[in-house]
Amino acid sequence: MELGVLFGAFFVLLAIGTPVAFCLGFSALATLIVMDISPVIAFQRMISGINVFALLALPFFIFAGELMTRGGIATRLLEFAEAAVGHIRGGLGIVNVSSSLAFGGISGSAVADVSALGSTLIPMMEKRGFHRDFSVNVTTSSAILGLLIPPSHNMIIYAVAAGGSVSIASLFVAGLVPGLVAGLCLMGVVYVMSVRRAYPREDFPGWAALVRTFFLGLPGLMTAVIILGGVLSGIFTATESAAIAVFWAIGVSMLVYRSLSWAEFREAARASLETTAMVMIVIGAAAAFGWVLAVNEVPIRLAELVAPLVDNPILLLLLINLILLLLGAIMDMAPLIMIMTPILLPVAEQAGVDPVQFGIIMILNLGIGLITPPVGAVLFVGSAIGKVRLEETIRSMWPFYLALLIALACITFVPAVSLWLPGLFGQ
Amino acid sequence: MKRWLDLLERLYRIVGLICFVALTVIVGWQVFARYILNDSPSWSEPLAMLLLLYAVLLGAAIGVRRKFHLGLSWLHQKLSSRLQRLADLLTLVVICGFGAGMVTYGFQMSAQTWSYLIPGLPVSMGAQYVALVVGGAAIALFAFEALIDAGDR
Repeated sequence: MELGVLFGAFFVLLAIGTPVAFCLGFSALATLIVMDISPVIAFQRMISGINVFALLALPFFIFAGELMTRGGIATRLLEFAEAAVGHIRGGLGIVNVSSSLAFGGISGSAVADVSALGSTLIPMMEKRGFHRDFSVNVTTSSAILGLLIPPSHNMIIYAVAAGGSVSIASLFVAGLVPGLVAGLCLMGVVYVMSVRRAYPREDFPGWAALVRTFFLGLPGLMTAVIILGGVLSGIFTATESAAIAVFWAIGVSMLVYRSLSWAEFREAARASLETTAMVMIVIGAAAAFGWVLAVNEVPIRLAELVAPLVDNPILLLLLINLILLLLGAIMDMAPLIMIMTPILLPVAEQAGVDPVQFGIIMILNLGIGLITPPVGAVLFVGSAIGKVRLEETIRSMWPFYLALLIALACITFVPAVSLWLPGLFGQ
Repeated sequence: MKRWLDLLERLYRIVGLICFVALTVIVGWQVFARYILNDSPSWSEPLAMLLLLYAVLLGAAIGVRRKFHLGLSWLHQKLSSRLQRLADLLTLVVICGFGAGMVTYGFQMSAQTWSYLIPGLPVSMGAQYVALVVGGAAIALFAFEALIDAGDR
């Protein structure tokens, strides 16, 4: 009965387009009233759900990413990638994937990636003879790499959703190799298709140009170094390193790149405030929802339900991947991480999956969801920027989905892909 | 009413932005104080978190008016225009009701916790729940405004 109210209200509201935060909060509230528990609990949980120290890093990573994106860092990274890998067959396609990998070290937002790089790269690729839908496909599929490359604010959300048992530092380091693996899979597709379609490559601009573009891009890339270095060495907490990244971003884009005006600074702050509020209100509401789930023993019941599968981790992981891919296709990332982690993580842990590896699996799954219809924010933005009809983008997207699924399989079934690097750092 | 709510939205945006920028400066100062001045301020973390709470709840209220909250839209788009209207009305009633709940229970909790202080900060714990009241009031008002607009059409 209680669960009927909870899930009934949630899914009906979700279906009619009520914002997720209010779906979560309202259904939790209604269930508490039915259960004759004071609704005050829901609001208390909401506040304590937002009032988590680790979450303080989230607005800073968002802000630093916004500032860097507006400060012209994308162009610098692009020029460096072009000088470094443009001469490989499939030139600008490979450049596209590499720029996304580098950009991922600055911003953890796939939408920011696709709009910052796509607006420059898609027209550039078209001019050099790449098909337009191919250019959009490369741009959108590589945009999700930034979710795995640290810093990634979705990893902070996962760490919080996992209940503090996973350190943000390990998650950050763990994402690097999977990000590169997924990047290499995408580059493989670009290379093969470029050979078959005889796409051009660029001339190697010479070592001098390579070094010059590297040093121009370096101040931007240092953001990732500061964050990772600070967190790994234990000198800074994740929150502190995120705040330093904001000041670094302001300094670099104002003093070094001289491309950040006061108006743009204000615009960056405004956009960051909105994104932060949007994501964190969902986190708060999900905390209330999660409390009601826990009171009704849903995670325990679910664990009993899938208990027979625990002896067969391969099947269990396949099932979890399938669930996450389907959910990711219809819903945004942050709410899903908040809702699904407390439900799925205990099950996966019982089957012997490391919570750090599980976080990476989850983020890649939900990331693929961002480029999958019916709801795929990154896919929509990419198609809009490339001025390609959505159907056309989707029709030619399959080799890229395939590449990402291969990467997903590697990450799911080879724990070392995620866990080797953190182990090396003693995390 | 629209003019007053425009003003309210602007006020929330300004205060939200001030909170947002201030919390960045505060954590930046904390790092500076710890490593350069060798003196860790105890107030910086709790204050930054309190400011974040306000930034989030004020921002969430702005989101109701500017409609930037995350939600599922593809099913909604498949509805007939009459059903769409009905769905929108229901959504607004839910948001308005939830905002009213935030005010009522936020008020109750802030009264209950008013005599306690946030550890490390000379501020009442009740201030955390005042954020709920302030955010909820505007959420309810903005949803109500949209309801009236929808009723006029």
